Amino acid sequence: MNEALLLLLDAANYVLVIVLVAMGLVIVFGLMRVINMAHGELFLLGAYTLVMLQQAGVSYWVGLIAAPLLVGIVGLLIEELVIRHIYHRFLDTILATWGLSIMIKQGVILLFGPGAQSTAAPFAFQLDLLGTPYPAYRLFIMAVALLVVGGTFYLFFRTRFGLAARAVIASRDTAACLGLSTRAFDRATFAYGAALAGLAGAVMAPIMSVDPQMGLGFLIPAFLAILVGGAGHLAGPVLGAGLIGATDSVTASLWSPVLAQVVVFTMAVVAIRLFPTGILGSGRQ
Amino acid sequence: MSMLDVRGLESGYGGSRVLRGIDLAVAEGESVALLGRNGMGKTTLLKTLMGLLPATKGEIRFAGRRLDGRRPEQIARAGIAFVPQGREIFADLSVEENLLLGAMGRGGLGAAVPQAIYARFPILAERRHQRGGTLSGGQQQQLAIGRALAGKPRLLLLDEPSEGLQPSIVIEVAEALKREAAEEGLTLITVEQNVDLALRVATRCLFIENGGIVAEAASAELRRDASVLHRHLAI
Repeated sequence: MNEALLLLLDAANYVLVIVLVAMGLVIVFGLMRVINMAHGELFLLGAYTLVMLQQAGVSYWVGLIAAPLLVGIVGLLIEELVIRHIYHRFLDTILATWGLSIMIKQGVILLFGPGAQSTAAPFAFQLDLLGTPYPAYRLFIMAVALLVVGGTFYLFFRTRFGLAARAVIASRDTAACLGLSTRAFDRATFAYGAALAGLAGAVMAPIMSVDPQMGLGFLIPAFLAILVGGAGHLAGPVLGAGLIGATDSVTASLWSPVLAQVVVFTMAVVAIRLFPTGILGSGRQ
Repeated sequence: MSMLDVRGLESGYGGSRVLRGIDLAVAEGESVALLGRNGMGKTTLLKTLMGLLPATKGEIRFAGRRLDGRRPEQIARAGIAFVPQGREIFADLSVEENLLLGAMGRGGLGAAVPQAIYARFPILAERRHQRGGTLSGGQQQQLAIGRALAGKPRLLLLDEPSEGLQPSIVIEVAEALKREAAEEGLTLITVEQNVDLALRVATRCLFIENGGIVAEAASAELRRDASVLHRHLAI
């Protein structure tokens, strides 16, 4: 019972963080048809922002707020300086964002070195859950992720901003002819997607080794989650991350992390074979 | 002074020149129809006016302001609305959301759907929570026009509003447009293949051939003597 509960909580933890990362990717892809290969490095920047601020003596809580804001601004700059010029050139956006990912990663290595940094969680106590002690910080991560995922759904499906954004996603030309500024939505959503990655990086930093390679470890499962779940709906990455993350965590803890990778990729291949545009579909013909 | 003043307008797709120097003046409150066979540049003209295609030469003035070279959203905010061919309503959004987007485009995120739209098209009020994609062709056309009117434009561009509609619905759409134009002082430019709708809605008809305007006539005159229609439309 205790083992099962622990496994469930760890899996939920992993799933929720992947949802945060994958959701940013899907929002950007849905609106702009851009696959952002630098998304993992935005996660990295979020984590380093928190570490840097904490080393400078700033409180964890300030860092947690500052990381998504700063990474959001980086996203805004990337959109303005790079992406904006290569819309409609699908392959070029992949190459350009891949180049950006290398730049950011090497920049971090130049500034902080290739080694791992570490930072402390703001609280280290354990909570008693049905007789099983569990780190409170991990529960905090889940709460933050749930809140942000729920907030994102609210933003896109219950607000006027979301309605306009969905109109731009459905048809850019029609939305523009109504007077909606597609440029403003491009900027806002790219920054929002980046901020989600930054927040995920910052909130995860205290429980993982913060090093220049850390982004990749979340980018790949996030991509798999989108492929499996579908990129046409915001719920696609949630479903995909649930399947990928749960399979990975369960297999890894029952057998081994290596076998978990094999199982996850096999599952992804089967899912893509059965649902070529993802379980919830791509949303576009 | 005319509300819309187009001079020497040229535009096209890629390297090909579809419009070869269009001159067009439309007065405030006037309703004009553009007639011509397929491929003569009617849709291209509307798309260029709306900023969806760049003008390669010439100028577009609307209410005294230069609009050529502007983006579609800037042109929409200046007061021009466009009902495209095929209607392009948001199929997954509700009727009300479609109308709301029309209002928000010019009025900002807090805008509301003007009640006059529902009064003009009662069917839209009845179906306001239904998805746009579930409406019939005629209802979708009313929704597309209602959505364009929700932004309170001064000039409305319509591309083939009769396309795919039954004759009885065409008359209904034409009458709704006519009333809107008369009561709100709206200026209309309608591209049509359907001569009946064009003559009903417009007071003046222009004929486009090979990317230029080659003739014009008052609708009343065309109703008396159809020879001009026959010459330019080959019907």
